[in-house]
Amino acid sequence: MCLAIPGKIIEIKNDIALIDYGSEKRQAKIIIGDFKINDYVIVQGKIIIEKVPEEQVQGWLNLLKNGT
Amino acid sequence: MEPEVLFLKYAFPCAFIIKQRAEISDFEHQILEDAAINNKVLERKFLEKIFFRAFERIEKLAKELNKDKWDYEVIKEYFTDRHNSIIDEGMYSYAKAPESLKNLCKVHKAEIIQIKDDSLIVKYNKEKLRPVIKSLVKNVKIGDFVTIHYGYAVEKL
Repeated sequence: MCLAIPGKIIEIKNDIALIDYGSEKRQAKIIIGDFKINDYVIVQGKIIIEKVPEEQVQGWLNLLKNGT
Repeated sequence: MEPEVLFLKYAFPCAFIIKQRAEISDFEHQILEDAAINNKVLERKFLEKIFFRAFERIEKLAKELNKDKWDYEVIKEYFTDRHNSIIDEGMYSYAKAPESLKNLCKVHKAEIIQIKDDSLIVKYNKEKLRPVIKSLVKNVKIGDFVTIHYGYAVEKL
C-alpha cells in the first residue's frame, strides 16, 4: 500500500512550513490551504499536498507502526 | 505512449514511499523520476521488480481480460478503475487505512483551476482542492482535465 509518512508542522514562515518527522525535519511549501502549528501533513516533491484530519492521525500512525 | 511510460507515470507518485521504505535508493528514484518526466521507456523487469505490489494486481486483471500484463489497455484500466476499487473495497491493508490516505492513493479526475510555478491547483470530487506537481504533464492550461495520483498530475485527458 502507498503509505506515506505524515509529519507535524512545527513552524510556519510565510508560505514555508518546517515539518518534523521525528528523526529529521524538512521544509515544505504551502501552495494552498490553511495550516497551523501541530497539523499533520503529507509532503511530496517539497510541497504540502494534504492535511491529515486530526481524528485520522492516530489511525495513520498505527498503520505505520504495524506495517502494511 | 508506450505502456512502460504510461505505467511509470501512474506508479511514480508512489515511488517516494518505496524510497522511504528503503526498498529503492535515491539514485533509482532519480532514474524513475527522469523517465516519468521525459517519457523514457525503462526495462520491464526493472519496473516489475520495484512495483511488484502493483504487478501482482495487474497480472490478475490481465488474466481476467485474457490479455498480456503489459498491454496498454490493461495498465490503463488498472490505474483508472481497478486500483480505486481495490481501495474502496478495503482489500489488502486498505481496510484499516484512514480516509485521507485512501483519498491520496486513489486516482482522481481533476480540473486545473490555477497554475502556480511548478504546481497546479486542481479541483476533484466536485469541491476538493489539491496542489499537484506539474512535471509529468506537458502543455496544460486552466480548465484542462488531468488525472491525479498523490501529489502529481499524471495524464492530460
